[in-house]
Amino acid sequence: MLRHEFRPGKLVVGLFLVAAGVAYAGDAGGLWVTEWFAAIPLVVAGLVLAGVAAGINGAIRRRRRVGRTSTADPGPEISG
Amino acid sequence: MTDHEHAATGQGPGSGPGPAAGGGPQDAVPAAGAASSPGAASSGAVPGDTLTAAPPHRFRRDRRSKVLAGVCAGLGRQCDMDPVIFRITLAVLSATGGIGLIFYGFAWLFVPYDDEEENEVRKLFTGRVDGQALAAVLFALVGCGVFLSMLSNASVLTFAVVLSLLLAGAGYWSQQRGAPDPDPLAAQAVADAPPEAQAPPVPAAYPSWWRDPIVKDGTHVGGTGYLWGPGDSRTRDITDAVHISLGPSYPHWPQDLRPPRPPAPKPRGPRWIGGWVFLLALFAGALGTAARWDDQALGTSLQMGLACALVVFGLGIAVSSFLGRTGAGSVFLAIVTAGLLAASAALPKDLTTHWERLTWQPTAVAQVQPHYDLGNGVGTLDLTRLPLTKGQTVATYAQVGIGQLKVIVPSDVTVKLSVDVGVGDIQLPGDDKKDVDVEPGKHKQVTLTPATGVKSTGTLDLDLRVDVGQAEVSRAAS
Repeated sequence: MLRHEFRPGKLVVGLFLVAAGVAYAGDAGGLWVTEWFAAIPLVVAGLVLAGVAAGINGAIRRRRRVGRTSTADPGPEISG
Repeated sequence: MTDHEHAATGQGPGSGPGPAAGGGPQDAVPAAGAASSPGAASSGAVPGDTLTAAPPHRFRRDRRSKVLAGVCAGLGRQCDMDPVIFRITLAVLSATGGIGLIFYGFAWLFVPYDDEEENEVRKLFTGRVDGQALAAVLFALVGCGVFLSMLSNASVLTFAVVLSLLLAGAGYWSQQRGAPDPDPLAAQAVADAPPEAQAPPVPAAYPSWWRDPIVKDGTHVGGTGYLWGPGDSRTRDITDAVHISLGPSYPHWPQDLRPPRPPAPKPRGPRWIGGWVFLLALFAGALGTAARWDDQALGTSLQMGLACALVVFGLGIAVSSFLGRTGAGSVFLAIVTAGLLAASAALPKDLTTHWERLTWQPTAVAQVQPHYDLGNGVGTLDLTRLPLTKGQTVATYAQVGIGQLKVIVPSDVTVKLSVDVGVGDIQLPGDDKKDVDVEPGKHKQVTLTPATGVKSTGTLDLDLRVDVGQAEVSRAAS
């Protein structure tokens, strides 16, 4: 019961959060230097892009559903 | 479970204390009218509402097994626990900090009885003041007073908070105990036995002494039970009363009065994984913090832990794009974690994870370093053994991030002092030790001369800096 339809918004925001976490973890581990405010642009960009992706995804789904119902509706009438 | 069944079968408003239980629908109207309680009677609600007013998942005060106001009985029914547990714990909480009294009073005020629609506050504000509401207000007031008087006693308050959390946790656990596996027999009984239809109550009397209906020429003036609001709440019930008095032969009434069946459980979608993601993130955060705790600064250690937690959150949310569900709560927690991460990265690096106590005690002028530094803790700069010859000047700088900086100077030197404290207090020789005056951005520049009669030997030029804490300069006893 875990598998479901793809939600690109979640993927985008999750990847940006992982990027922010890795950036700070590398700083704490001494591999590179991260400024303290680096989380702000990363998280904000992630949320914005996730919103855009979710919006596009929703629009595509809606259009596909509308197309399917408009092509599927006459079907039963013809057959029945 | 018997209480739940009672609640689920929905005893009507007139059934609780009243004699309407045995009556058929034909004579139910006068019976309920005689037993009408003020709140349910005059609310003008549709009958279907009152019949379904007490589904088992809503917290209502229980009139049947009450001792004082039924709050504990209602809590016990809500959580499927013995009400005595709540009574004893609330009594203990009332004695220790008054939280029990506050909770009991406000629950009394804001939670209605299971067979009523209105709570005491609403009755109070609509002009129907009675002893119940006044007692509830008194409870809450006394509780607030006890709470305020105990505010300075931290241990009592800690005990009260821990006890309330334990009680809430026990109640929640008990409530969720049998959640995925409801008793099939009880469900069958509920489904098979629709409750006997009860007539809606008809208002007959109003308890407020200044709201007695005025009778002029045999007609009532006012008398809805409210000081304001719709004036026709009595006439609206007439159609319902007609329906009921017509009895079962009337085609509409069974549908109107039968309580709606509980909706069938929705088909479960993909499972929620937000809780597991949160637990994993907590675990990863603790691991990351612990890994860097011993050998790193506090900021770095926290940053490592929070970064691990954020990575887990991000992975969980990304995975939930096709497997399992996470909601806005997980995203919110991740954003909070990112904010804390930025804050921890902004912490100064000289803060360590340990509270240090350092003492610098130079015994020769050549040993005095130009710069003493401590991240957090208590740093003591003891200059009493410094052999200063006449006219000699020694300059040094001491800094503590968080904590206390103590400087002890010999009694026979002149001290040129420049102290900066970010947030905290400055203590100079001659100040009252108990006079601690915490202020942000303190700066003092003074020259301390030795006491009269003591010959000045040399000069100390001290520059002290404490970010958060106290800077204390004292003279050694000569």
